[in-house]
Amino acid sequence: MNNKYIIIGGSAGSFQAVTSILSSLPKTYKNPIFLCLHRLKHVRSGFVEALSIKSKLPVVEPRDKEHIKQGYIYLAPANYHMYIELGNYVSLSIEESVNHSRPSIDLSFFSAAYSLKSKLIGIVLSGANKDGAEGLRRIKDAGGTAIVQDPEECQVKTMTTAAIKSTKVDHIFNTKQIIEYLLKLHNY
Amino acid sequence: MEITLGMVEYKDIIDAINKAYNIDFSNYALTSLKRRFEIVIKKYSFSDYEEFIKKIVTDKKFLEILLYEISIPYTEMFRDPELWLVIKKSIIPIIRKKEKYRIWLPECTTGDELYTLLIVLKESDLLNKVEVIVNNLSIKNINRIKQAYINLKKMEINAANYQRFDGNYRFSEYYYLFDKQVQLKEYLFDNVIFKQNHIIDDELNDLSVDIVLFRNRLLSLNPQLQKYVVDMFHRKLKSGGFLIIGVKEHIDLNTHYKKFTVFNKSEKVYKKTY
Repeated sequence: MNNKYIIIGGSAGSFQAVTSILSSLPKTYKNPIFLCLHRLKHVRSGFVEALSIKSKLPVVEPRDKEHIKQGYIYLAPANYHMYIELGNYVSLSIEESVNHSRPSIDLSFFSAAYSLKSKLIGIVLSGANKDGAEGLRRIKDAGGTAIVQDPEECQVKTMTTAAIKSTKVDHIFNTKQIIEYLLKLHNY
Repeated sequence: MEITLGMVEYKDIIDAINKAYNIDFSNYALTSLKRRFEIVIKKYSFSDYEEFIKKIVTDKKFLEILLYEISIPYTEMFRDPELWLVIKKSIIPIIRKKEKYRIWLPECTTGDELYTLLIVLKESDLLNKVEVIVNNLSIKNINRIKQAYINLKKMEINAANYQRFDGNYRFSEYYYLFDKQVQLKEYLFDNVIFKQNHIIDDELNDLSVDIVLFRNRLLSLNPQLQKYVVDMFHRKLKSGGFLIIGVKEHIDLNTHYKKFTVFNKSEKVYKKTY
C-alpha cells in the first residue's frame, strides 16, 4: 500500500490536461489529489461541477479544516488559498494574493511540502505565470517528487519552464505519461 | 532574510508572546500564522528567529507591528454579494421591526466587511438605529479601519462586487475621490464603536448583540478555538440573533452547536434558537 499524495497546479491552458487526468483514474483510485488551479475570484460555482462530469472520483471544494480522505479530489475554492496541514486536513486562508493569484499554487505547494515531505508528488501544468515554480522547489527540497508537464505540449509554456528552471525535476512528462505514472502508483 | 520556520521554532515564538504579553496564539491555524511570522521576519530583516523573539519580548511597539502584520486584512467589499443580498432581503426587514439593534464584528481585521455593512444599512435607512461594535487587538489596524482609505486598484474590485450586489445608488456616493485612493464618508461611521481588545477578553463579557458577523475569521483558528469562540458568540447573541460566517467555514450543528439553526445554508447564516 503506497501512501502518496498528489498535488497539481495549473493555470491558463491546463483545463484539458486536468480533465484528461481525472477521466483516466478509476473509481477505486485511493491517493488523495489536490488541485490548485487559477480561476476567477468572484465565480464561486461551476468549476467543481465541470470537473466532476469528467471524473469517476468525487471532486469537492473542501471547507475549512476538512479531513483528507482517500479517493477524493480536492479543488481549491475561488478566492481562498488552500493549505494541507499536519494532521491530515485541509485549511483555507484569505491571506493576500501571491503571484496575483488566490488560490496560489506556490502557497498550496509550500504547505503540502511542509506537511507531507517525501509522501508528496507535485505536478505543474500549463500556465501563464511563474506560480508553482517556487513551490515545486520546496516539494523537491522536502524529499517529494517533482513532475512538470512537457512545455512542448503546453498551450502556455511560462509556468512549466519556470518550474523546470527552479529545481532539478524528476520527470518532464506529457499528459499521457503523467496518467501512466499516476496509474502505476495506484497499482503499486 | 528568507526563513522557513520549523515546528520547534514556531512554538518558541508562540510561547514567547504568551509569556511576555499573555496573548495566546497556540490554537491558531498553523500554516497561516507560521507564514505571517515568516513574512514579518523577512520584511523587518531579522537574521534569525531568535533575534525576532528577542525583539518581540523587549519592544512593545514591535509587538503592535507584529499584531498588525499577522491580522491578514486581505478581503474586499461586498465579497460574496449573495450573502449581502440575503442580509438586505431577509434580515433588514427584521431589523426594521426592532427598537434598537446591535451588530458585532469581533476581531475585525479588515475594514471591508464593516464598510459593506454600513453601506447596506445606509441603503435601508437604518444607519441611525443600528449600533455597530468593532474590536481588534491592533490599535494601528483600528486606526486604519477608522480612516477608511482604500486604494483605487482595490476599489475596482469593490465596485464590481457592488454591481453584483445590485446596490441602490452609485457606488461613488459613498466616498471622496483623491489621487490614488478614496476615503469613505464620515457619516457612515457615526454609530460605530471601536474597541481595542482580544476576542476572548473579559471586557466584552457583558456585550449582548443581535448579529455576530465573523466571516472568514474562523479560518485562522484551529477547531478547538473555533468551538470556543462559537460558544462565546452564542452566549453574547440575543435569542433569535444571527451568526454569519464565511461560505467555506463550518460549525457542526449535530455535535457541538445544537443551539443554532440554519437560516441560510449556502451563505452560512445561523440563527440562535435559545
